[in-house]
Amino acid sequence: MFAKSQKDAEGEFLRNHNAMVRTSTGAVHVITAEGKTIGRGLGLARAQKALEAWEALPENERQPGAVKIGERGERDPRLLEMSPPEGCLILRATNRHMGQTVEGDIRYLLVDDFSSERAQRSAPRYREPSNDFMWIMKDEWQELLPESPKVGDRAPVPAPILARLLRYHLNPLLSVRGAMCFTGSSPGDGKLEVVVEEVSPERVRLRLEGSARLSHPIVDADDLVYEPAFLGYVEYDPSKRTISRFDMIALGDLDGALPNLSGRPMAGIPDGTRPFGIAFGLIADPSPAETIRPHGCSKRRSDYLNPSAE
Amino acid sequence: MKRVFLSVAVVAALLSAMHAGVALADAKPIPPDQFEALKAQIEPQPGENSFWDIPWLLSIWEARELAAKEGKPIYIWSGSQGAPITGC
Repeated sequence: MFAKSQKDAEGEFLRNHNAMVRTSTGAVHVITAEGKTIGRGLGLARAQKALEAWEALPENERQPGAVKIGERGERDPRLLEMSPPEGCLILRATNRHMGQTVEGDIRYLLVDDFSSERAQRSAPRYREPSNDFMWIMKDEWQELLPESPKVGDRAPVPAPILARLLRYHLNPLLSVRGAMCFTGSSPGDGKLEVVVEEVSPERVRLRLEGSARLSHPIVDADDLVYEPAFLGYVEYDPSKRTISRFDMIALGDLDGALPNLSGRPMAGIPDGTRPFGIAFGLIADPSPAETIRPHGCSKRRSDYLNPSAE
Repeated sequence: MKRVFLSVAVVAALLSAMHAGVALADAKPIPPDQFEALKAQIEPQPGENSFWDIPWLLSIWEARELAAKEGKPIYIWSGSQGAPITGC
């Protein structure tokens, strides 16, 4: 967590009150506005206990307006580096592992899809979709929009969009431990084209379509392979050149075991051919938390922002 | 961080009922008439990814100012590598 080294009053406050952790599993602290710790730990029972501790505090520590917060002062300029670049689009990216019925329909995972008791215990977490964000830089999405669109026109999407998609956003490990996968992919491992579908003075509708084949080595086992197809729709106002819709899905077969921390197959997790999908959607008016950087951007920001330069 | 935690009480993630969905069979390329249904099936269902039901703040200072103004405690979630990837 950046606050561990954040050089401003906010970072100092968090350090002084020991109200944070730097683990990937995360932690909960409950404090007062002054900084008094009244609870710790995840779960409803602990939250209830903290609430009881809050209610036991003297009135003059709880009344609205009773506590005065000082000046925040200047913020650590490095915080800017964690924010989305100016003008970039923020897409919510939802990854979901799925199963398949005997008739070939995709379905949500069942506990019985996990082959060991231990894995079955983690099934609820694994079958719930995982959340990430994808950033598309201003110059990239502007390049995506044709200058003089005609129905049927077709062109490849800007190379950085495809490279970022392949390397950071088709990640089946996100739901397991937030680790990255397929980051060694090259733009040649997939294709994504934009096709003009509709043109009117008010709106241009583009279709995104393509496919990819990505692989990741697994120790003492076959490679993990993902072969998604892409389909999506982008709509924009041609006079203002503003995007009002950016929806896309990646869906296809995932085949092979997911790697554990040592790169070997994870036991008990589905490893046969099964569907894996990612849904992308434009966040038009992001909340503060929706400006959190993508998982792929947390360690090597420049590689994420300029993926073609790798 | 923003709400008192009566709002946090709803965090426990409950998975929605499992159900069969749209056919994937030979879905390369993805049929356009299935796009909306497939996208909806991948996206969070009611009760999933409840972390995002809470209007979190990113600044402890802003949370302190709001908590002091409204007379509420602050619920802090912290960790490395960004927001939680699945439900709480």
